[in-house]
Amino acid sequence: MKNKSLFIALALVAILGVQSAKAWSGFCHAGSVYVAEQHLTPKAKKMCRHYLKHTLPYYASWMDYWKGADVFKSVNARHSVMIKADGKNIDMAFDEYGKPYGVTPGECMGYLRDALAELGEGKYKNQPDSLVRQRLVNMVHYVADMHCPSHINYPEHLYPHYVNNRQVVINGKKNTFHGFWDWVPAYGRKGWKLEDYAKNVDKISRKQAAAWQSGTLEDWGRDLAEAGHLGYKMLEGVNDIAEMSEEQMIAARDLSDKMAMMAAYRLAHVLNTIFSY
Amino acid sequence: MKKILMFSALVLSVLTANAWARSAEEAAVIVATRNINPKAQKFVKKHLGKTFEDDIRYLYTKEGKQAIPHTKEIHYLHLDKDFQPKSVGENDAYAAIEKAMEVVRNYKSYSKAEVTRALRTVICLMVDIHHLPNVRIDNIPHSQRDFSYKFHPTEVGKKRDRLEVAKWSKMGKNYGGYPRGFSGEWRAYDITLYLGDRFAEYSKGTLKDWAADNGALAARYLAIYQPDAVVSCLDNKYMEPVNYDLIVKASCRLAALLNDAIK
Repeated sequence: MKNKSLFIALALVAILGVQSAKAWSGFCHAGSVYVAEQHLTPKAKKMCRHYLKHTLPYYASWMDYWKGADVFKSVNARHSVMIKADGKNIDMAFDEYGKPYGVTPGECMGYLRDALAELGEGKYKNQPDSLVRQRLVNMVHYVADMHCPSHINYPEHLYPHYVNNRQVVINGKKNTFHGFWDWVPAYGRKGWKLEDYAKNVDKISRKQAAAWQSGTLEDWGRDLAEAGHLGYKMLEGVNDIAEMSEEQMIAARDLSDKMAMMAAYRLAHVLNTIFSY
Repeated sequence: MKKILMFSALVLSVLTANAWARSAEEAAVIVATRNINPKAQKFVKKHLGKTFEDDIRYLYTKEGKQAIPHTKEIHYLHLDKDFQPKSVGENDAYAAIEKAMEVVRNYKSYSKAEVTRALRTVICLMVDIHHLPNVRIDNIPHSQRDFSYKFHPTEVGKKRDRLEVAKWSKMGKNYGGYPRGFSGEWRAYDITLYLGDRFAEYSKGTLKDWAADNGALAARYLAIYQPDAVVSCLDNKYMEPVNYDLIVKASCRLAALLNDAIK
């Protein structure tokens, strides 16, 4: 029933949004995807291995690595999501240029919807391996990307103070609001390996995980809209992180961790759902 | 004895001037460890007192570096224009591996310390000769030294297009497929998935064949990567799968060498 509602939602949702930007840091991407891999069913894990011939974390930042090359242009969507004018819902109907989905390559949530429609309910069995593989590679990256606070974009004319490339100095060096969210996951975690990240950050209860995984993509989108607002609010008026207290830094890192775990459990859910057939 | 001591002083090994990322080297030796026969495993354990990966980690420590004298030149693979190993004396990776393997094969004639040194030489230099910047080819002058090249991180004309400068010697140091935080153990797991049941295919041939194989590959990329060359986005990005595959080859071939010597 849960699967069915997800797919109905996918079919109903319209599309699009947003701006491509840099990545959530490679560390956070890999950490989130690493956690996702720990929560795959044996069958989903086996199928992922079959199609990818690599671990999931290997592909965590693969889309960022290749996005500059035209050869992958046709399979590369924008690495973010667009929030509607109400500021609470995700907009999968239009991209940031106001063009209907399909005219431009799309964004994370629309891509996820299409991938689920193409692979779900056992349809992956009838698709060429190369197509399934590419869909998996992209989803591994996009599900994490769309949960990153700096990849959640709002209509510019309604939220003019939400400037993604606004300058924020980090450790004395020029950086941006976007760069802050790339940087903060590793704050105070020098030398951490993926295993350390999973051990220390993946302390999610079953109840919480189930809550994150339930609902439709639209429901998921509302979580993203909320996190995006919080992300901008946390850095409101901050031009240099030296102005932030330790508590504020930890709060920002906690938000990043929460979103990375939300992404991890949702990615696992998506892959487990696809390969449940 | 004097000869062996000189050889040991020359040889050993470890941290190359031109090396892959540390966890990539660790991964290569971990995979090799898992592909050697039980007798070879026992042999390694006896002479290193630990596994390959523990040993290579040790060699990265301050104590490890001081324990093993080595020269910078020993890490390079010297080939003639037909990619055949060229005699440049003992200060060459190919010659050093051959000599070390001689010690490993006839370990009963040597002291434990000598065999340990020889094993470490083989482990480290087998990884080194698969790193393309360590391959020096006679008729390719720019292979004889490190150089800088420019590359496009994105396609020409894109919003973020700009020329960046990189060193040939750093090739594979931070390649994109592996995000930060990937431990050697996890990389090894990833390599195992990638390798599948292709160990025999990847380890086929002799040391001489592998040197020629690496030489041909290096020549192919040295035609693109030249001093002050402007490397395209695609050529630059394709070095990631090339380097990955070379790490896998290094691990399989290291295992094959030991499997052949210790039966």
